[in-house]
Amino acid sequence: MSDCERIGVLLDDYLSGTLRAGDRTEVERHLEACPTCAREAETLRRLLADARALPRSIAPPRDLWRGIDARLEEERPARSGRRFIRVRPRLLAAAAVVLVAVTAAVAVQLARPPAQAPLAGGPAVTAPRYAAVAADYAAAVRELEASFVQRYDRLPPETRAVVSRNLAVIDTAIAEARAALAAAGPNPDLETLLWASYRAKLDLLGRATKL
Amino acid sequence: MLRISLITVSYAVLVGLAPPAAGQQRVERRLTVGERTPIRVHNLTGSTTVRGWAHDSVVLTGTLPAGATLYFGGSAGGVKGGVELADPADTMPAHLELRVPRGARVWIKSASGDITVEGVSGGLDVYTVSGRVSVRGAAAELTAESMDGAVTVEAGRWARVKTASGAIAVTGGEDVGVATVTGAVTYAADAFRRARLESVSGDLTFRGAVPRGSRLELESHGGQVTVEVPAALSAEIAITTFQGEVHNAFGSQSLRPLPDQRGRALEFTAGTGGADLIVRTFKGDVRLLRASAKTTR
Repeated sequence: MSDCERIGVLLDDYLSGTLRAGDRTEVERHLEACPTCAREAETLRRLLADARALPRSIAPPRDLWRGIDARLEEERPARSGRRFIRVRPRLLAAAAVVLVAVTAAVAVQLARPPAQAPLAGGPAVTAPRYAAVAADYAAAVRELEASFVQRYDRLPPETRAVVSRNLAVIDTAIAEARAALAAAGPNPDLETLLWASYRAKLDLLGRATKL
Repeated sequence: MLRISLITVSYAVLVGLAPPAAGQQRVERRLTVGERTPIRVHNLTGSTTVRGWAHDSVVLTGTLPAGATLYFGGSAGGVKGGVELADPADTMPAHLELRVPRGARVWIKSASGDITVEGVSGGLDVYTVSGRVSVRGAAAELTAESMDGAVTVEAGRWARVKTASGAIAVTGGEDVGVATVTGAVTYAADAFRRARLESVSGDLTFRGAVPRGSRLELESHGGQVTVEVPAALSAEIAITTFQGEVHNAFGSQSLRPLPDQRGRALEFTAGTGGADLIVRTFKGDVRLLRASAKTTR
């Protein structure tokens, strides 16, 4: 693997601010010496800056799956029958926009430097960076949940069961990670796990919406 | 043995020549296309099998259920084919088999149908809801998704595989990303450049070598993570867990608690380093194992 290839592998994490100190120094040295990689890094950096212009989202609901379940009960008419789904381009486009927007927004948040000093205890979990990213994810989840609710009755029963079962697992993971963060305060590893669960939920909802 | 083979062959020939079952329709279409023509196939039920071959043509054969219609057409600029069921609620299976140029870019979508691809080296995008996916012969670029069907792929240069609860088995590849919610993941490779396996509660297993300059990340909230690598492993290892246990067969190092209830970590250099092996779990156990000579790829 050439130096450029190795740096290319590290570039995303470098720009996200999650690279280890040793690797970060290596990347910085390489970028100073290699115009090609420097250009690539600059392009990515501009992409993140553009993403900063995306509108910010509103605060998330507390219990997302309970909410969606309740709405399903309310909105479930006496429709019956099993049929496969025709894809609605507008819904697909909307879901794609939401996914792209939240991914970019979250990337921007993660690219920001972490808080100056680690804080212990509960209050720290409301640190602006964590709160903003969590709000972005939760808002995107809510958008997709709304689309998913509209399509729920059209899904075959076994698919509904699979999606519901997996959403429940993800929600449990999200709740556990949030509780741990509330107890421990800012923690990049815990946050990474929490974001991964949010991403899993977004992805699952996005795919369920496209079925 | 010979007798069994003859019986088997005879049976296969008879089945092959047999007329389709009552109500079924047999179909066959051919088109001349380019070596890299994009091909889209849509078959919701039954099975779709695609095989790459060394010809600039597409041949589609198969059987459709009663009332279903086949659409199929295109040119060197692109080919589109699929099955329209008489009733969208119909679940009677259609079985399609396509021969396509090896370098084609193939897109297949199904709902409950199984998808099998062999020998397509161009690009491959396969989507099914509950069907199984099997890909043999590494496509340069591969995207495979299933909700709860199992996915088994040989990865090429770039591969991304996702399921909700379906099990995933991947071999090879250079840049590999695998994600599932509850499915079990197995990845076996020894020449990758970057690989990332993630799950919410599904178990993650890596077997193989971690090449110099590569980066291997395994991340799970609650699934067990197993990394089985040769004793000659040379990598920077960083394992973090919050409630899981770690079994480390590569030394006497053990987990050290991080301050402020931030979990526990195990970081060390195996050999001379030169690659990154990163594992992160919330409550899943982590096992870093030495592969026996037999299991080392």
